[in-house]
Amino acid sequence: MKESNNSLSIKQSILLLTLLPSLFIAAVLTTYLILSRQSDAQNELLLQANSAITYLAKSSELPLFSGDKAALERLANATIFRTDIKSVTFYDLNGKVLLVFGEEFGNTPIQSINSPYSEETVSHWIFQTPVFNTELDVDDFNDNEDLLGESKKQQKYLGWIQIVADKTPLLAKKRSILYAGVGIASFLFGLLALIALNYSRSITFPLGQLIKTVRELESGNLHARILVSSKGELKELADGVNQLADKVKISNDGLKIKINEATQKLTLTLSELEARNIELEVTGNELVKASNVKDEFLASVSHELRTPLTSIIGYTELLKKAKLEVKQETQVDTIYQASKILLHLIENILDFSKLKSESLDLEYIPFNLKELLDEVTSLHLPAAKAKNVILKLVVDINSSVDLIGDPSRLEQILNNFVQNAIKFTEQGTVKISVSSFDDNSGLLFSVKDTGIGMDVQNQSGLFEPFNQLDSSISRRFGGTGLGLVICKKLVSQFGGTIEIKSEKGSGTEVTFSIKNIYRNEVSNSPEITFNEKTETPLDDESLAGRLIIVAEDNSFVQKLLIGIFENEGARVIAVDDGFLALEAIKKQKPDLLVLDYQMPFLDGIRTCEKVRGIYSEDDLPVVLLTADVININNTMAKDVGVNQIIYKPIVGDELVVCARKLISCENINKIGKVLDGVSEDILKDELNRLKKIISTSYKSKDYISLKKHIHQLCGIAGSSSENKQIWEIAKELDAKLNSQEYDCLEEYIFKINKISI
Amino acid sequence: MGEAISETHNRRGVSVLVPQNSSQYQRVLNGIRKELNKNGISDPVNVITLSNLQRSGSRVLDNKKLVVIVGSRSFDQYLKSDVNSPYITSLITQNAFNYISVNNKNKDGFVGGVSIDQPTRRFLSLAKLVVPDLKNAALVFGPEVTKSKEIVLKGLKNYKFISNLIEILLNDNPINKLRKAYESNEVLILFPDRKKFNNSISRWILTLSYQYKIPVISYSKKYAKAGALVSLFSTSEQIGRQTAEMMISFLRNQSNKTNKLLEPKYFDIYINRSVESALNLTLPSKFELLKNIPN
Repeated sequence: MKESNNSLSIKQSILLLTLLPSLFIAAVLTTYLILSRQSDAQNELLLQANSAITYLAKSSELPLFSGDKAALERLANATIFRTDIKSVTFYDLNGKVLLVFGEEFGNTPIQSINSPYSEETVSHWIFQTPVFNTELDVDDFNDNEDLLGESKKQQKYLGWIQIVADKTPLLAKKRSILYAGVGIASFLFGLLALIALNYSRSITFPLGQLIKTVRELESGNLHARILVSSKGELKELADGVNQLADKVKISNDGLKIKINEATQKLTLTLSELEARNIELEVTGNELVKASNVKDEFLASVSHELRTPLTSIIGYTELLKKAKLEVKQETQVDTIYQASKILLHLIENILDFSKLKSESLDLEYIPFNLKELLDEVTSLHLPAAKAKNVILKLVVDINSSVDLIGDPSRLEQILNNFVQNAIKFTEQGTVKISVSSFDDNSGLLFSVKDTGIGMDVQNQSGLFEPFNQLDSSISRRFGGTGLGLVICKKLVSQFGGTIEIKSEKGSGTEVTFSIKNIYRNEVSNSPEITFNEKTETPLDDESLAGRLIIVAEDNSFVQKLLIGIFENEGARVIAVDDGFLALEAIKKQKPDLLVLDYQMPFLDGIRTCEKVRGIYSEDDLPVVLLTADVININNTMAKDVGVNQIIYKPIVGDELVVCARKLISCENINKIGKVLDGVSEDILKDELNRLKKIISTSYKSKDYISLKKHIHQLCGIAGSSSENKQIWEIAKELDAKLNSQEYDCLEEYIFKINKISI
Repeated sequence: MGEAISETHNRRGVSVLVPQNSSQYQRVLNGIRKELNKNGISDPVNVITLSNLQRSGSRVLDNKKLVVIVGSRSFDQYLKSDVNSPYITSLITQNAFNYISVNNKNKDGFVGGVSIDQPTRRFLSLAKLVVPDLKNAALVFGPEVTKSKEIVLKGLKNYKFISNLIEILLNDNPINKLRKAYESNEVLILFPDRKKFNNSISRWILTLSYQYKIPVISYSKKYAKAGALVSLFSTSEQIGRQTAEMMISFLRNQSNKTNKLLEPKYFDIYINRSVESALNLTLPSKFELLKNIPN
């Protein structure tokens, strides 16, 4: 037990609680009694004096009236007999002293003529009172007097009396009262203090023993006991503490035994747990190994499946372009479709596997939404055209299109829905719409077709793996039944939702939202705002005359790539590894470099890294081909300067579209075509806007922004023969920027600004 | 007063004019009514106060068979009014009657009056009865009575004791005169003077009476109660009774007039038994005294 420094001990508390109120009460009562008794003594004196002077006033009427001094002296003598009245003075009608009896206190003049008067001095009380002749009404009939000129009853003064009371006895009496009161109070207080002290000791002594014993018990001496000598509650408390100590000792002994037993058991359990942990660790390592093996297996399978498939699909596409008999064309188409289905199945299975094991993480890299949409539409345009289906893109965004997110996964989702839409639409349109939420918290995509549609029952199982409407669908349209499941999981990872509205025979609209996508705040690109909806019909263009270097160690794929590009009119230099590619580049700068990811000596990534030491991404675009969809890291590829990754098996159209986009002039032309159909006013507004941005960028020496907007200007101006002059200047300016000839830029900027649009 | 004052004046009736509604005048009225009833007089008696007279004017008393005027103030107001009815004065001292009569114009119709002043012979007879061995009696006069002392002292020679006249005037020290009177007489007989004088001197008379052990015979019941040994006086009822007798006589015969203020015919005695004991005296009973006092 620790005592606080600020708290009082029981002994102090008892003394305080007993003595403090007692002292206070005693002080109050004593003061009250002393003052009361002193007041009584004074009142007694005043009463005596008043009684005496009243008696004198009544008794002295006749002597005063008759001037009988002897009678007055007798009256005064009778009054002064009291020890505290020292003097009696009689005054006549004129206020003149008639008789003084007792001690002389000087001739005090009459202070009040009509009423009694009293005055207190240091040592005396002085009382004065007038003496009247008290008339007696002795007439039985009172009627006659008024008429006879009688006035009303009047008091007739006979004289005055003064008595002087000595205060000395009163003061002595007051002192004795004070001493007696204080003495009695002190005695009683002292007595009370002794009783309280004795009482507090009777409590604190046994309590002290209790505390001492409890402290010994606390320190571990369980044999300590209180020697009971007190009575009542303290005895009960002492007995209780002793009994408690007994129980604690017994309990302690029992606990010791139990603790020993428990310790032994715990030791055994710990040993077992340790053994289990070792086992678990072994199992965990095995599982990790198994997982790695699985990943490696999947990567290997992916690569091994994709590589021959690339050859199959590529050569099939080349065969399709060759002159074949009708029967052969049908057989080639069958091979081509089967290969595509197989490739799609492999891709979907890999994605599904990743999503299921939750090992697929979204990337957060900068990308341009418009470019992404262009890629999607460009990819599906041939298929749409083949089915005579109009593919429309409607962009209604009021915010920046420079975003940060995972463009490849977003593109995958869009491709899936657009592919499905084209697949299930025999005629009509497939419209891709993009808009943003009102609060700019994400994007809303819609893919709407005028295809076969679905009834309500069929919609319910759309997002279950390997589920298709019916077997006829699978036979007729192909597909693995995993596309929607993967899309749903990807959209979910983007923090969005998917909604499907469909009516059998009328078409289907798939709407999905993307949340985990952000505006690129550090981008210098100005916001591109579509003030009104633009519907953009898309078309393709040729690679004729362009030089493309292909680095691929697989001879079949190498030949395939040569065939694809040469079919488009391009010149192709094919090499077997990265080193050879670098040598070829040094000899002649190509328009495009296509690198395989896995090559001997110098793989695609490292080759690209070295190329970027010579040419920038804009000067020489690089396409990386890979069949390793598991291990390839998009971020790493982008970091070393890869412009585009294309997964094997290579689809000819996809590769061609990509190549066209990346080769700058062709890309610019493409953009120009894309803008066909836009109204002339909008085109002018956009050209003027770009001119302003170009001027601003040049003034601020922001050559990156300048280059970007010169490209946009090239694309838009080249779309119309009316703007040919500005297109030509922009092209020259672009060339100067590429060669970093910044000194002569001003001339071109001036020329551009001078041209009125 | 329980009597309702009628606003419709009975010009043929009898009216009593009183100064105010007080018990003293009510007792006079009681005496009048009792006597009238006893003698079968049925004429209604209207009671008029002085405030009624001032408010309603003198017509309330005009053309009455008789107007009875009680008290000196009523008498004074009546003489100042225009009323010309026959009238009787009552409950008035001779001095007041004389004073008011002199200070107002003469009015016809005076039938007579009843005074409250007791004749001196009654006091002297009473003194003899109180102190049978009486040799010297002091007759104490105030300044007003002194003026007409011949009337008061008329016929005193018939008594076998010496009557010493003590005149106390306004500028006198009454104590000295009274001490001498007490020192040389066996009894003091007091005569009523003005009220102020009576009241102021009464204390000394009574105090010295006790000091000198000399009895005092007074003229009012209050005096005896205050300390005089015995008082001789007429009560209000007795004055009323005598007034009623005068009214009856006049109402029965208009020519029955006394034309003067009569001394009270009926009187009473009051003995202060405490004083009697204090003075070591033994007086006959009240009835014995009344029986032996000549009217």
